[in-house]
Amino acid sequence: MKKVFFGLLFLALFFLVLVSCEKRENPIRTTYPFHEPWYLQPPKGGYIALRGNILHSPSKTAWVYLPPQYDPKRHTALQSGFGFPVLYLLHDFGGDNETFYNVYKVQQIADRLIAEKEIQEMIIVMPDGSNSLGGSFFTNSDLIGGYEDYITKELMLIIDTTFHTMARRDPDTKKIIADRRYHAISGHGMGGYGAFKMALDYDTTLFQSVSAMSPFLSFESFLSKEMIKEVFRENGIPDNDSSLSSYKKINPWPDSLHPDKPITQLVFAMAGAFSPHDIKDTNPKASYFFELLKVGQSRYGVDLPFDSTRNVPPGSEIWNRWMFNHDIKTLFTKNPHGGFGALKIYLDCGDQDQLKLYEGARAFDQLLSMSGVEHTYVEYPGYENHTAGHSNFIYDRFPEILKFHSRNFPPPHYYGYK
Amino acid sequence: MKNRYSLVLLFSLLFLLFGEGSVFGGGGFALPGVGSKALSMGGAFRGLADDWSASFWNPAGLAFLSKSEFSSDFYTFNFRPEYTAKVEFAQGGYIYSVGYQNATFYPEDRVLFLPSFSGFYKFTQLEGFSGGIAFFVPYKLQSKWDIYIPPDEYLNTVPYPKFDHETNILIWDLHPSVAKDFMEGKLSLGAGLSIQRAHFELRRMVLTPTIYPRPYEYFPVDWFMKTTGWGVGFNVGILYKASPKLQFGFAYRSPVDIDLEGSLDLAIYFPKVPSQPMLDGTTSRYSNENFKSTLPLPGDLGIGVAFKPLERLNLTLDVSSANWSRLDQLDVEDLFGALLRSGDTLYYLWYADKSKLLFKWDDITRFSLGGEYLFGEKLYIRGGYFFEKSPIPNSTFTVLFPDVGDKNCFNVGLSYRLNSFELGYNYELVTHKKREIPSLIDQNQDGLFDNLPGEYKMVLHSSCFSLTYRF
Repeated sequence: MKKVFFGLLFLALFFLVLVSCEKRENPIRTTYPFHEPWYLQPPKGGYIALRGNILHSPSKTAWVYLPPQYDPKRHTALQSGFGFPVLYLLHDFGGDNETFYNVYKVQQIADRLIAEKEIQEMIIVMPDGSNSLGGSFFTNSDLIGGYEDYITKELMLIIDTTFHTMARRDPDTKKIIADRRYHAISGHGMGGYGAFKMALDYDTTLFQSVSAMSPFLSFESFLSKEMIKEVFRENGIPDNDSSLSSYKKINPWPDSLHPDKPITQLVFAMAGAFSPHDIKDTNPKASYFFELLKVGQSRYGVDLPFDSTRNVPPGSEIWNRWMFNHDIKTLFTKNPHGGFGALKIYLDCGDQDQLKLYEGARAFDQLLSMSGVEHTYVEYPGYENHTAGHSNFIYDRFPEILKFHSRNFPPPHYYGYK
Repeated sequence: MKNRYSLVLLFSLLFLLFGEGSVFGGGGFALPGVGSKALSMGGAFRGLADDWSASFWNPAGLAFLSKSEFSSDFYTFNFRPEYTAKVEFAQGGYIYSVGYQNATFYPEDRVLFLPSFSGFYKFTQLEGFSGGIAFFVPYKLQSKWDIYIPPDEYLNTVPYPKFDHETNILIWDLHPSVAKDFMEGKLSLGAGLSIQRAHFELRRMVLTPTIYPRPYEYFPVDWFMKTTGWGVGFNVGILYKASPKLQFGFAYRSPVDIDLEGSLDLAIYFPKVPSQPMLDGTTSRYSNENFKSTLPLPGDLGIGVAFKPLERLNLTLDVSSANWSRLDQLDVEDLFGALLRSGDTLYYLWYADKSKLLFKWDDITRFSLGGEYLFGEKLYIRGGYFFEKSPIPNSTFTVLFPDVGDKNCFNVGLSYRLNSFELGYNYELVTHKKREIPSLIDQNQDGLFDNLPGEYKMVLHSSCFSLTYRF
């Protein structure tokens, strides 16, 4: 009996040791070495397209993300046949070249997606489209400067001649020849507008693909009666006050009584880009003129498209300038077949965008579909306590933007790619 | 005969009075029980209660000890929980993650060792009177989890603690008991005093809402409570021998409130966002060295039957219930207020009322079966089983207390008598039903989530070695 007992006890101990010894392994945390982006200084004297503008310096810096395999010592510009694709990333109203880098952590997202083989390596250029009005809308304007030209005619050339892109130098003419198949453009909000505007203006000559996060695509949808009323309210003008004197007090500068004027500032920035008052008229008398700067006896400013009754007057010349020269939906309608050429198109918008930009995005989505233009439109929701507004989900959308452009770049041609 | 039925009826009425919501039986962070023999019989021991562990199960049984005894037990526990995290928000086909990987995690695997000691004396000069003291551990849980890291883009310069969820609970019980038999040895009554000392330590990660966009919409707060405390309770029991083959036991254990004192440390980890000077990747800390709270532990009520169909065979059956619903919440600290006081710079956190460590646990019932057979004159072979639900609802379930789901517990044990000594061993396997929690829940609407969604599994292996000396 004693033997039986001790035999059973031995078995029990053996079993105990067996079940106690197995150590289980937790998942390994992958960490990626993040790369600080390259700080691109402006050319001496600033960018030509921005010189002479009245409101801001022509000197603009840019952040340039260089992917992990990019070795500045080995990779020099204009090596024929090899190079990295380039994505131009335009920031929103109120931001600058630091926004994507500092706030949305573009370089970490890109590093992670590259490490996980979700995207191919690419250079990401984050230019500065800010000015004293809060944003340039990346548009050429006599008042604020030629921001579209600054990107398309100067910065892109500087990038191609500074970094190892797919551009090459023509041996005969010595000119730089960019390879548009390896160029893409994207942006958020105002930058999304800028990306589509440049894509429309240059279609297949500059870019392979275009994308935008919560872009301004339809001024009609954006500048609603309610939005105009909000401008008046932000300036302390009651809803029932339609006097010209009150109307003329509207200005974009916050003061102690009206410290928050986000919509007013946005509208003035748009007016600075789309309806600057003729700078040759240095002593304007028009009721719709709003002064922004006085130099000596000369006054400079913008024309607002709405009047003191909070309406856009029918046939308004100012509004027509907005619509026919700058409104993406209208510009596309004018030339639906040639508009984007063979560009690959992606756009998205939060379903609770505070500026209701989803209305314009939906309308544009419909327009593209009706015109047979292949594109992808995503309207995304938020989650509890976090509705999908204008800016708060960029962290989640940006990876989709990178994947979209990566898919549409041709196979990479940089050293060491496997 | 009439008296016998009256007592049975009395037991039944008492049990019904306390209903399902009172008695104890493990669950939560309680261990399955004490005593090698009692555990071997699945904890169905209130009707038998014939060794030192009667002081835990039913002190009335101490009156029927045949001899005085010293006993020492040695327990090993091997908790094997497993957690597949799914801490994210899903809406309209989109998934928004908040710093947890969707992966399967294990705590730091370790075997816990616990002792128990007891000494009971049979006062032969005082007929049927026994008394003594036992030391045992009714509550024990220890685990460390590494399941959270801030999102990659957080760039916090102060690393988040490796172990973000930790439980370290030890509550021991110094338990003097007395028992006396009556009615010529047919009935006994017993009572015990429960002097409990608790070491109660918890660490968790609290997602704290902010006004910033993703991925900074929640800042991680490291919440670490380290306390000790005392509590006093009692237990009473009745054992009735209806016949040489049939006996009934009834036992009640009072709830115990442990007065906890210690420290509470909070540390909020900021992301590094260069455009926001306050978000500099560092931490802000708050420490309260005079933290106080109360830990309400459950009482329990149980009834047991022991039946001896053969001379060498004992069969037992218990039903018991523990009122874990006492454990509603632990008042802790004004979390955000505490952090605000440390620098007055955290205005961007949502302000919440006094934050609480929410439990909202439920009462549970345990059904136990046991059997014991004597081979020859010295070797006892035992087996047991119990079934019990988890007291923890999905809304407050986290890795801190891995009482995952419906438990099926299987025991086998044996003991061997060698003159005045008895050597015993029990092996216990507790399997839990898998638990799936679909989403984060803020049960008390204070802005902080009270659970951790995902899939949980759990198995417990435990052993008990015992040595008893009778004289």
